[in-house]
Amino acid sequence: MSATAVLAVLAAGAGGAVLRAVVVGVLPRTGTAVVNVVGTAVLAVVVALAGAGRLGSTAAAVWGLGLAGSLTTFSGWVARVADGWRTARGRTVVLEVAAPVLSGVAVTVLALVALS
Amino acid sequence: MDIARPDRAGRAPTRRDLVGVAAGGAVGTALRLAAAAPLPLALAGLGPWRLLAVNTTGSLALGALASLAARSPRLAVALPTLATGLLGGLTTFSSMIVAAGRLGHDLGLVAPDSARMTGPGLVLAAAYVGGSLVLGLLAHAAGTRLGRTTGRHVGRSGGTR
Repeated sequence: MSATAVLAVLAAGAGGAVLRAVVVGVLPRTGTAVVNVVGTAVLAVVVALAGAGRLGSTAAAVWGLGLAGSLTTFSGWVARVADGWRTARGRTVVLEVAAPVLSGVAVTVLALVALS
Repeated sequence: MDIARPDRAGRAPTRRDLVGVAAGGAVGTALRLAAAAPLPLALAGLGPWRLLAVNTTGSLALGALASLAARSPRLAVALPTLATGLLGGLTTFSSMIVAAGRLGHDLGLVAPDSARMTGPGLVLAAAYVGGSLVLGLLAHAAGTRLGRTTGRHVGRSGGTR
């Protein structure tokens, strides 16, 4: 992998983080879940296209490892679940856990079935 | 805007915040790339166990950072860069979901050419996501406690203001 490709991945990572910050700023309650589901869909499409030989390795790394990887956040998701837990908002905790995971799995399966 | 500061939720990010987030996001992505080495970059993933380690470590760091920042205005200014950018970019939800789906293949329990998620694959995927969440929550709690303890010591010596 060339230095240019690595720089492109890092730039995509920066872009993904900025996009996440903007979405969470606009949608403070649901933004983390939204970016996690959208980013998972992007990664699923990348994996499906790369698996089918329709996307080059550099493009897959830029979109998958850079953009989707940085757009989504595990630590932010855990922080939201922990916050719901701490404030004893049971329904919030269930929604924070279930909604992004189930939606993420659904979009992944859809992308893999549709594109492979 | 910040994932580590729910009290600041809803505040639109400033241009300065976004520059910090971009810089942190690039560094977080670089650290994730480094954790993947020597796996080929094109795989767009760390493998399930390295990913688990990276996500758990990031959750611990975010817990510590958020509780330290609650005591230190100077550190709070750096939250967009360190929390939203660096730790948000280092940890990743999308790879966890995809890694969970491929775990059955990776462990040889599901035929490599099988596109269908079978019983063992489903159980493994659910266990991986559930285990990641539990470990992440434990790490976040441990980080929060660590940050509080450290913040108290540093605050007592007057180093945070």
